[in-house]
Amino acid sequence: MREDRALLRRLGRGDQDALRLIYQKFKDDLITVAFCLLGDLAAAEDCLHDVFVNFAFRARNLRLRSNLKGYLTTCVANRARDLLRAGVRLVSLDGLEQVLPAKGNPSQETSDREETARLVRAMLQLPREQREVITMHLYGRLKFRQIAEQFAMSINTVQSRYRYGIDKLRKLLDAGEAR
Amino acid sequence: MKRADEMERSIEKLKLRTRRIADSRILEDASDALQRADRGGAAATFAGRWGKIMKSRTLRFASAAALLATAFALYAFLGNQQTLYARVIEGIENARTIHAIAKTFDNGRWVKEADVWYERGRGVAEIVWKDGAIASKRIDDGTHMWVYKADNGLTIRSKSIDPMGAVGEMLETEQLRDQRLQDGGFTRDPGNDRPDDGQWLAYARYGKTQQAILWVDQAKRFRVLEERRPSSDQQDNGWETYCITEVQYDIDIPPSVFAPEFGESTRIVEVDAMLDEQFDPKQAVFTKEALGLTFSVHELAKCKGNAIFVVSSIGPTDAVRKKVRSSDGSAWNYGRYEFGASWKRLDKHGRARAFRPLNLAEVYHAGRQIRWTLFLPHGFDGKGPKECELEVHLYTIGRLQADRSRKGLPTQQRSKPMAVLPLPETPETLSTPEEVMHQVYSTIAAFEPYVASAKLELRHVPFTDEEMEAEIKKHPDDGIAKLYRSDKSQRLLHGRSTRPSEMRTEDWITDRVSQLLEMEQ
Repeated sequence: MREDRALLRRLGRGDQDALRLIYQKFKDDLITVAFCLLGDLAAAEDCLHDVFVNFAFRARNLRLRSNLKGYLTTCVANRARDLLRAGVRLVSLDGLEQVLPAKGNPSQETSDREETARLVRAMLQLPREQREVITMHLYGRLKFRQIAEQFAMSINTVQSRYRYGIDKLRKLLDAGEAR
Repeated sequence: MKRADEMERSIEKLKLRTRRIADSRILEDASDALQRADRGGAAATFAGRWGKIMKSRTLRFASAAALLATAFALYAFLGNQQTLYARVIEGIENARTIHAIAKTFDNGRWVKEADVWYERGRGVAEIVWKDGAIASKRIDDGTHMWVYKADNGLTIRSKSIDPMGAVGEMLETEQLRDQRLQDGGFTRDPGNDRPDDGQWLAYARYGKTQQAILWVDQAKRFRVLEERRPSSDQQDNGWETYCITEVQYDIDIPPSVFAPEFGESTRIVEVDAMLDEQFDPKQAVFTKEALGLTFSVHELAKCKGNAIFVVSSIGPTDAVRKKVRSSDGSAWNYGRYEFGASWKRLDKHGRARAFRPLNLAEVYHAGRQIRWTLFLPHGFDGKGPKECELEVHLYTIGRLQADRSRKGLPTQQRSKPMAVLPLPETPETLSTPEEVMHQVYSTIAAFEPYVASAKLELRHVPFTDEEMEAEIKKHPDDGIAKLYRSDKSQRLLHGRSTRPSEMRTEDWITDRVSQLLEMEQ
């Protein structure tokens, strides 16, 4: 966290290297969140693009209250919400193949890629509210309390959405419905 | 292991990769945005940030980021070495005086950012510098606090908040414990010990993007914090120091440093007296007591486009204030309020009218909540309403709420309407809502340094998708339903990602004006 704060301070002074380092550090987690919320690679990249452009523009005045990763994850979740609200009903899984991780061992690679794709498909079958809470908690490392504050809802609602989401995800994977 | 845990682990392991083509596009555009912010955002100088810094207790007393980093670093470096840590803290506690100077390396030279003086029994004086001149100064002698801001020439005097300032931050170890656990990794580094006199010992933390070295003298007193970043210059193994905080102990501090004198041109404002003067219920346009609280309307004005501007407040009645004591100005111990829309159906054809509240800003201090609100009338003819109807939801909180609950008294109340106020005769020139917003921001900026809480309000997110669908079915002709169905529906949800304190004024104004325009459609 201290390193993030230092990076942010450098970014506030207009340091381009700090911007690049922050992007490199969080981009994969953020594209995962964006893809899980939108289900479309182009839209997820646009979402990440908007968040980083906005972040860079506002960095000078930014004062973090939580961790930087949590902040950026929240920004991605909000931007994804905006896109969905605007009528961008996606979940087409377009482009998933292009962003799946590549590993050295070919057989391992295939198994990992299949597993990841299966999980992403299952995630995309969850209601958006549950996906949001799960991704913000697990990728953004935000506490339930912080998510509740962010979305102006009670902590019980957030916890319920998380619990229901995880349960449903397990059922989907167990039943093979996500395949 | 629980199955839920397994599932969580699987999700955590799920990681996609960005495409290179996207990386270059995003970084290019973000880099442009950073440069634009550098050019256009020059107004957001250190002095401009002061207001934001003042809102955070942690930052307020540290004055400059470097000093705050010092406090964090001190614990992080030494927290896992109990003896040394205890000695360092003891050194600070036993110091008669402390003087800390924070400098940053900017455009090829060292620039002083802040001075902090502390003298036991006398208090603290903190100065933030800008271009070699004082941008702001805070003095706290344990009885009163003065905050001087050069940009508006005002000095605010209020009750003492913290006579230890940044020094106190260093001693607040409980608050920093979590930080220490997360930071970790600080080690003694004999190789870095100061070679010239061999007197100072170094403790360093190394990261890929940041290095920090804390210097401790032979008497185990914290002396210097150096923060370093990667550099293209290979002179110092590819690192350069860009931030330094130096600390001196037991020097003689001239009494003038703690004297609350800020020049002849400055005006000293008494915060409590000023709030009383500006928001006195006895001078209000309207006032009503309920639940042990006094609700008041202090200003009511028409704007162009029929919008109505209202300044209102709530606070405990005199009797309640005497009975329910609250020594801390930032504690919410009495009540708060929200406005409703005063929605009313006019006929069986579904025609309705309402005064939609658009909250602009809020100030809280010592039990008093003050609100600046624009009401947007809907369903009236072209000339707009002649009266403003205020639907008010009152809530008791904290000690007053506990007191009333114990006695079996109601703790909240909805008044629809609380007041029906005739709108003043139209003046020759009406302000536009945008002008009103700028005025409100100026007011809030002036209040920020000395009230417990001052914030701009962003639109909120009241609905989930399902709730919104239900709401639209319930009120299909309502404006909010039309807005939701329109292309601009995302504006309903915009704004939660940025908290008020993190938002530029211009963005806030743009955001609110957009919302205003949408609501008027």
